[in-house]
Amino acid sequence: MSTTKEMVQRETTDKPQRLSELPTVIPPVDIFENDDEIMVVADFPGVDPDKVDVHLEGGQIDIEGRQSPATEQAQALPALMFARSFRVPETVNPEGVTAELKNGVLRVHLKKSEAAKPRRIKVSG
Amino acid sequence: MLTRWYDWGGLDWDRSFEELEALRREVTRLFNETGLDRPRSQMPAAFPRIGLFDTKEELVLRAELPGVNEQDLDITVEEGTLGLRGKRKVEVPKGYAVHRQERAETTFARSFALPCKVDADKAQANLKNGVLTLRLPKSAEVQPRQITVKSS
Repeated sequence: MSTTKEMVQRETTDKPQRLSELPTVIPPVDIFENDDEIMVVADFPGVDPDKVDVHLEGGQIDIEGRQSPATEQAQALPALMFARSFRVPETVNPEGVTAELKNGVLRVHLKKSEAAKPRRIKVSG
Repeated sequence: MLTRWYDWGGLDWDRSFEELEALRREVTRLFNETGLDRPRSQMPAAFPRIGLFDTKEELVLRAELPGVNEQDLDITVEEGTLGLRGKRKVEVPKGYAVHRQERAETTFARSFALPCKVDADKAQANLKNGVLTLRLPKSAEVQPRQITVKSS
């Protein structure tokens, strides 16, 4: 009985795993905005900074992160890929996108273009 | 006045499909408004996502704890039970308006029956990239032993 189970397990989990075949998860995301920027915050646990891909094109931002599969835990905690996409308003300056990863949390800063920032107009008189 | 039985009052087949299409568009629009078709984020069914494994010399626990600070974690080993407790704080940065908030502020408590005796004094816990790795060396009596055979 147990040997049958072992064989079934081996067949389904011992396949070679390629990066592109990681199961994809939609991470929870917060979006905040102030006068200067839009900030996207996403949970990316276990993702190294060099495995994060932030891509802005055609008014859309794609954020992706891949966990590196560790050999000793491959079956107990399979590696995942996190991916999420959002439409970005035209007010965002494509040159001014920065991202940082801390404590398994990704923060993407989308700076607004100068023209889109609110301005206070002084009234003289 | 007599009408032929197959005259359907000028009902046109092409037109009726058009009406079905209009209905389909309307239903799609309603679903879009409720947001039912939007991808929903997948917070793990149990937070945190955990893996436990045995490397012969030690028991290892890995827990995905994005945004959890080490001072908010409480790990205990007591009478063959491993306890993991903690909380994740989520703060809205000052001066920002909130557009979307899916990352939940949460507290969690999970416990596990350990399959063998461990040397809790030599336990090592490390938090990196939002993942906790806890290593519990097995106590000497349950460590695998290599027995050398001497030939006489």
